[in-house]
Amino acid sequence: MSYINVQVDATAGVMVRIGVNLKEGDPIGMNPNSQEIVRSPVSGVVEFITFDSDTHTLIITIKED
Amino acid sequence: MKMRIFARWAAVFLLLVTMFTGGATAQEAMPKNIILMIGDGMGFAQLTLGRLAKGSLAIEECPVGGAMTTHPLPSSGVITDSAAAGTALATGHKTDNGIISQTPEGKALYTVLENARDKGKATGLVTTTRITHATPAVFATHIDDRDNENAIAEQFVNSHVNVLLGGGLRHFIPKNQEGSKRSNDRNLVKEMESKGYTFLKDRQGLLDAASEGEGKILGLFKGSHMSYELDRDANKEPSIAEMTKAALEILSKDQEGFFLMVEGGRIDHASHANDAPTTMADMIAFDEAVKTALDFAKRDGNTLVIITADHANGGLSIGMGDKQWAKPEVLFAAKGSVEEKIAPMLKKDSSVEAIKKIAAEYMDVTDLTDEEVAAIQQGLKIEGEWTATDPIVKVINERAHTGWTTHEHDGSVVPLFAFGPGSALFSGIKDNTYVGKSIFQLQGGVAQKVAFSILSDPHLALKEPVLAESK
Repeated sequence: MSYINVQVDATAGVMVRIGVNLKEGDPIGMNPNSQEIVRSPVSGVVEFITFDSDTHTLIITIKED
Repeated sequence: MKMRIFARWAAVFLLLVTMFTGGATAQEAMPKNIILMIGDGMGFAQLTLGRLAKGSLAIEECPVGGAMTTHPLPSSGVITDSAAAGTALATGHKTDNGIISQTPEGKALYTVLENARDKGKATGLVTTTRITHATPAVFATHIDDRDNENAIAEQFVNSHVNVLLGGGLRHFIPKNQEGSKRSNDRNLVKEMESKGYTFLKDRQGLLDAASEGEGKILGLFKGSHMSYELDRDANKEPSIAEMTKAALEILSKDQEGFFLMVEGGRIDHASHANDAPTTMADMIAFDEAVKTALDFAKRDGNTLVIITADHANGGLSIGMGDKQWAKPEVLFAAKGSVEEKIAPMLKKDSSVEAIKKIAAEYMDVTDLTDEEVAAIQQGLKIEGEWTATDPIVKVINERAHTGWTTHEHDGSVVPLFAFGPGSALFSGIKDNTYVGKSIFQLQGGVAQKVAFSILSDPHLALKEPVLAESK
């Protein structure tokens, strides 16, 4: 079991909540630079959503199945 | 025929008078100085959190109050970022998220700070974030990407802003200098010193400069953002109130008056992290700065103070679920931010003993459950430089009964307060563009050279009356 971190825009870019089950490829947020949709690289559960003030982004931590 | 010619010239004359005087605003209501104070992420709930802590806020001394919408252009949805919201406040125009005082097509939008400067007034920007961050940037720079902070720093060099105070040194120093984020060898601190700026890097330097009260000041007190108020070393970093006081002492020497923007920038960050005690502390620090501004305005009698936010954040509620009463004493007990103080300490030692010791010492929590300890330990295991802060803030939020619905900005209306000459314009519910447009009016319309450029360009006059020449 491993944890994957994915960085997304913090303004309104998160499309998931903690505890949500994801399949690989599911949309999870917006790219902070391009505003394109960021997709989950793995299947798993959203474990944490953490704010990084230095980059004004949110880190979505997914616990891989 | 003569009468027609006379009527036409009279109409042109009236148009010019309207443009140069600001139209409907009575001359006697015009403030000489304007202070715009922006609590970044300061929704009504954040304001309430501050009120719980202090009993009453300095903001409440404002006789005029209302609310303000925050949405950006529809192409960016209904939830704004600080760039689009700040652009609306600074220029009177909406734009897309991520853009700094430009239209989506790339035309520069003239700002109220630039207007003050072009009218011969002194200008200043004070923030607790990097000075290159979106909110301060929208007042004196123009760029299509808020994250291009090196370019924003370069634009500040030629902005002629008299006082710049905040964090962000890393975008001003050359790439070979420790902590730099620049990709070239330009030393913007040196460049600004050659243009007459005095460079300051600590609290004492600021206090000394304020007592001298002259000249242009560049104060950059940290590489990135300034510290959260709970973490601030009061001997090294000035508070936002101290920066506001220093800026006022310097700017008020200008006989023509001044425009000053003050941003409490880290209310937003603490709210993104759902960290209620840190949000409360930065909210109170911002209110202290408001008190400083209001005290100045009361003494001066010719200063308008406008207090608002760019957007709300976090969907904060005072009371959570079936626990509909607040316990602010839990929030008072915190001795550091979760993001920058508590989580980094736990990352160094994630033992059960260390977690319980730090919870007791920094959060005054002595009844951690085994489940809470396990969740905190789990959050410390994520890879990279980050630590998951959710399990830590949850410990506080559940005990304080503070609820959050999101880690992002929210789309609710935000507070709008005003004090001083012209304040009556800011009652009721207004759009954020109204604030920028009203400041232009209260400044007596756009500056002469910009007005002439508008008159010579029918497109600008008819479609976008406050567009300036691109820099």
